[in-house]
Amino acid sequence: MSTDTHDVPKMVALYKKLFTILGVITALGIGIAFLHMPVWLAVVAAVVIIIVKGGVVVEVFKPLLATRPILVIVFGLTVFFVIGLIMLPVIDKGTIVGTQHIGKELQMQEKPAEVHHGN
Amino acid sequence: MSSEIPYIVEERPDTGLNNATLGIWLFLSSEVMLFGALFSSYMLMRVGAAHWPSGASLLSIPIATLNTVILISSSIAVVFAWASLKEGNFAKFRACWALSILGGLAFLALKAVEYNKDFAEGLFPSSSTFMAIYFVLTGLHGLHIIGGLIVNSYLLGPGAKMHKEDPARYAHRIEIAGIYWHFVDLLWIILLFPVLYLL
Repeated sequence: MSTDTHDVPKMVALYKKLFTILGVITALGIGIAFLHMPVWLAVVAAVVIIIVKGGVVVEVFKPLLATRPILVIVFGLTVFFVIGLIMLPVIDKGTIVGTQHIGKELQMQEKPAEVHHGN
Repeated sequence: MSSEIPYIVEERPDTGLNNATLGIWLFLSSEVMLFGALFSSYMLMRVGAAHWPSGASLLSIPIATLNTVILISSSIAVVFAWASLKEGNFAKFRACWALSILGGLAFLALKAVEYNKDFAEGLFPSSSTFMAIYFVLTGLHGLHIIGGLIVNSYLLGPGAKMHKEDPARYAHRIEIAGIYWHFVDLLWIILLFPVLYLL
């Protein structure tokens, strides 16, 4: 929110626009929830919804941010670290311990060795 | 020598922001990291799990949708409260601010109803990984709502005295509290509701 009095109607309109768009996207999300999707598609859909909603917020506040370079730095660093925070564990094989991938490997190891009977 | 803290209301020349505005954005940035870490855990567990229940099949979408509507309305009430204060209409500000507090209380009440429903159905944090991350995320969000409600109630009650003594500073406090409230609402609307309930 800006501190200038002449900006008040502009800011009110901005917030109204933001919450209307978010309401519409939320309604779309509720519709998507009733579609039975595979896990990978559900995760992709979740990430897309989050990115779109986050993008809408950033887009709406872009003019405000443009006048405050320090906020751009704060937001930029936050986005950078959050993406790193989310992506690093996902791409790092070492953190897949206890998941189905390791489970499959263990199952393979626990399989009794096949006995070959020679003639 | 004056002991007054500078840049409480006026902007610093170097950052273009006053102390509290920069402070709240840095604080919210750390909050994004906190919830980002939990979301990262959620993603990792979900992608790695052999079976992951659909939130829609376990949780109540109507209650969560109603809570989303309540939070959106509460945020809009905060915007109107701030605008009224800026325009010098203190009575309208108080009404809108009180409405936003009521919205927060209604959200918590509905969340309590939902938790009771979950417990009655035998859904506890120990029931599954999904329920554990659900209770952690929504519980932490609930704590943030409670924190916001305490501050907002103070500003409506005893803290409102500042409006007579130093109206510019009071308006600034309302602005900062409003930014926090928007963040807590957006957290629910953008992250928690779609991730936990819809997918």
